[in-house]
Amino acid sequence: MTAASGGPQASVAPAAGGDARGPLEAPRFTCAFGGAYAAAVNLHRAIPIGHTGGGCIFQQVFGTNLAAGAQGVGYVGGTASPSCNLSEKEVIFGGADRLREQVEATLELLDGDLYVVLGGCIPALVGDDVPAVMRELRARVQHPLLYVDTPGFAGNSYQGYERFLLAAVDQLLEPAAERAPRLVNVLGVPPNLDPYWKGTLRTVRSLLARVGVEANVVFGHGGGVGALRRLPAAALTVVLSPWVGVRVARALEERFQVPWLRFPSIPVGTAATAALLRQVAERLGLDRLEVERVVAEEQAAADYLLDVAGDTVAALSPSLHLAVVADSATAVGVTRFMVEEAGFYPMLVVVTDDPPEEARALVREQLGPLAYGLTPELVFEPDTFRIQTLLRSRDYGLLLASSLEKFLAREKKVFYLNVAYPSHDRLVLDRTYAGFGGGALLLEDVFAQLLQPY
Amino acid sequence: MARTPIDLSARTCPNREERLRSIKAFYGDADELIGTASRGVPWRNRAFQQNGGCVNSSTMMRLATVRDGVVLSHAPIGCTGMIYGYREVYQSLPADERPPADFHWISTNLLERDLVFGGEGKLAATIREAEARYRPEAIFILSSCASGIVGDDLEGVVSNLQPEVRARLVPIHCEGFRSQVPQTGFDALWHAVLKHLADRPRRRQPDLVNLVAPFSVTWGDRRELLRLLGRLGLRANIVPEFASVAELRQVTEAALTVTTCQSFGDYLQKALEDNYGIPFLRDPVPISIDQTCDWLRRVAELTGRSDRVEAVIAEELAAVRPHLEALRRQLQARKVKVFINAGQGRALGLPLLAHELGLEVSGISTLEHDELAVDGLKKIRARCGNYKVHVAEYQAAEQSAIVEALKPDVYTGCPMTGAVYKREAGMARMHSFRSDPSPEGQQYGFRGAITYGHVLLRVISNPSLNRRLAGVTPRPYRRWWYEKSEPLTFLKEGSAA
Repeated sequence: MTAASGGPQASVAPAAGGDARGPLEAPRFTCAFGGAYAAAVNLHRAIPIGHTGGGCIFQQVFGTNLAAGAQGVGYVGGTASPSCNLSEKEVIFGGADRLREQVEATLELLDGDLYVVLGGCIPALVGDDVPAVMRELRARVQHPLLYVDTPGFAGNSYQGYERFLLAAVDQLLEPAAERAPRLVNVLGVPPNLDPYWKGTLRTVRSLLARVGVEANVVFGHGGGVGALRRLPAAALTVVLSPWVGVRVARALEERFQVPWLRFPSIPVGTAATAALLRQVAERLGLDRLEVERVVAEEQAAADYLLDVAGDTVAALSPSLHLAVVADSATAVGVTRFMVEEAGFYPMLVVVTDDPPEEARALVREQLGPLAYGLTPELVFEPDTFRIQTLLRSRDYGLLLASSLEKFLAREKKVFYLNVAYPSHDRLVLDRTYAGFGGGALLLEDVFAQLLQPY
Repeated sequence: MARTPIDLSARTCPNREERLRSIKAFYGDADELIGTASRGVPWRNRAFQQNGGCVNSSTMMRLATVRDGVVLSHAPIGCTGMIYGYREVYQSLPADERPPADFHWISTNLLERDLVFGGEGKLAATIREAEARYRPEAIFILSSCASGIVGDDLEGVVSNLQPEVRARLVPIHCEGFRSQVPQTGFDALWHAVLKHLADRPRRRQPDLVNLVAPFSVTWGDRRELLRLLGRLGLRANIVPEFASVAELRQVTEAALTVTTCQSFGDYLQKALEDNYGIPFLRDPVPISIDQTCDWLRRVAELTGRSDRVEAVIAEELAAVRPHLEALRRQLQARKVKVFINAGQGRALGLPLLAHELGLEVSGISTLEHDELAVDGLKKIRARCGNYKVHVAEYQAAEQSAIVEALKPDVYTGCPMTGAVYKREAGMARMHSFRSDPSPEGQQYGFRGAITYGHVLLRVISNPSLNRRLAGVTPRPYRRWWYEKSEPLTFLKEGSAA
């Protein structure tokens, strides 16, 4: 094959790209079902039930799970996740009976706090009346049930994450008896679709705790169905993304009058993290002096590390040319830190998560003139072929990207570090570049690549 | 019993429910399964099921590494989830012997509006896009649940476009729902390759052997099998893993078709025999030292090389025996019981290897049962005594109950199978599926046998991690599940397919 090793092909010039509605090679997301499943299976003691064919969850197990930093299967993931395994019979006669049977058996066998029926392509296309089956089951069983209508063709996995939470808003959540004035919902960091989600959420939780705010983190360790049910009680929802979770925050506002705040990135480094804390503090009316004291203390600790790194950065990579390929929240956070605090020279940013137009404007603004007027070339592109064609035609010395770019970086003889999905080349547990010290940690990992011997 | 010859003029293969009367639900003594084999075991459904793959997923991963082909998934984007590591994970193969690992796939990325109006236009556009981007030799077009339900006509699109496209277009009917036996996807794949891609044979190549190997046969295994066939003066045409399209096309010219897995090779083997008179060898598969010797003998016999095979075997055995005996001494002293969960090739091969290594086989869990497995089950019975057989597309809950009851020291199976290994008896787990190039992944042939033994020995020497996890990770299944000790509780008796 000549195309990939040669230059760009006339018929598929990158300029024609950016379209997430046409054919795609290896976009950095999966389908709406995959995103909803990743949410359900990473909600503590929630039991996902695929109302799908037998391969839909299996695809996620060997796809998203491994691509999200080699994740294990946890409580009821992997091939333990229940599935209707719909076949020709259900395609012809409908899947209602099979669903009823599967849900009843699942309740009998599996111990969980919430049973989540995830409807895929088959029931949507053959017209199963799943809500009717759910109504009937709810009348009969004691266990809490949730139905997420999330066929693969409905959109990408970020939208699937939103569909899961929106279904909870519709079917599960109730107005809070009283508002918790120091409780803040944290949305926009989707399990697995951001491989660094666990560390990021843990970091945001402990940061907010430092200023006396309790983070309501739904997914992963320390979250769960209780946290999901507490969403309406929060004083504020923070969305850590230009767009992922915004629809959920709006729904929480409409339904339960929870105000919300969009922070347009993962907060990487001191400036972004301080900005996040200040914005939350302002919205909650926290004591400004106390918040500034915490910011100063955290900043000093991070700056100490940056100072240690400074000599090496200056010696080995003075304003090294930088390219970033990542989802919008990561791309904005990582680029801004690398340019404005670590002094790298921004050449190119490729945003891979197909954000809606409103969010694109926000990303453009965030990556508009940065320090000293530096402005990277900004491209919205979900398709790997077009991304790689573009990357081959540009110059840079460091590529912060997904593992899909790892060998392209080797081919171009530039340095590479994984910062975004897919992360096939690292085991991601608690790693994150979020937080005051997250920037220093990013430099630490970058220089593990740059320092000789390599 | 005479079988119906495979008809390549049909649009696609029959489903395995009909062709092989495969079943997906059984648990009991091997004797029982062997005893009922002649009249067949009826199909039974489960009220409770866990995920385990579909016809589409069975097909896709096995084509993702065709070197100059493109996998075109005519589906929503999620159906390609499994092959995200399609290029990266192969880059670390040894550069000196690696064919170019520049693989591509492309999805039509079916969205709601495409399904309302039908996806044929988008399929045509995607074929053109694949041609323009990659200039492939072949484009494998995989149907899906979504494209099947809306009734897209793959053949229609293909016949319209083939004249203007250089790549050979290979439509494969692998809708996820079409069969409850995901292994039907293997047959759909081979049917399409033979119908749309393979050459009419110009000649017979008497030293060429088709070796059917999927992605789960590791680089080390591949190297070992090439080496062994080479010692007999044979060239291996390894398909489809890392094959070029030209290699796929020349399957019709080989002298023999052998396989690393009975289930995966079956349709190609029979179709080549029925349509081109090429003999095949199903059993044994070259796992375990004993079976590898038999395999070499049978291959030699079928290719007219019997005169030289005994010398080769003697040399190989002389090299391998001291290692085997050392391993056997150490493993036997520890009285290790093993439970094996794998697809047909390994499920029927690894017990014999475990036996050679001095382990006790407490049971196997295999993905499907049908006539292809009977000889293998009998052979294990003869060597190892009676043992338990579980037939299921994984079904993690059932495995969990079985493993709890049998209490093996080692569970050897596919990773990601629902964490059976760490919750039941704190066993040491090891893989039996790896497409990585590390020498530890090797299980086939003489060298694979020794490697597997070393990994087993190492693993049982320190099960600390799994013992700790067994203590600290809760099981998702309720207590009654283990007390009842009947893994097939949710089986619906008398239920038809």
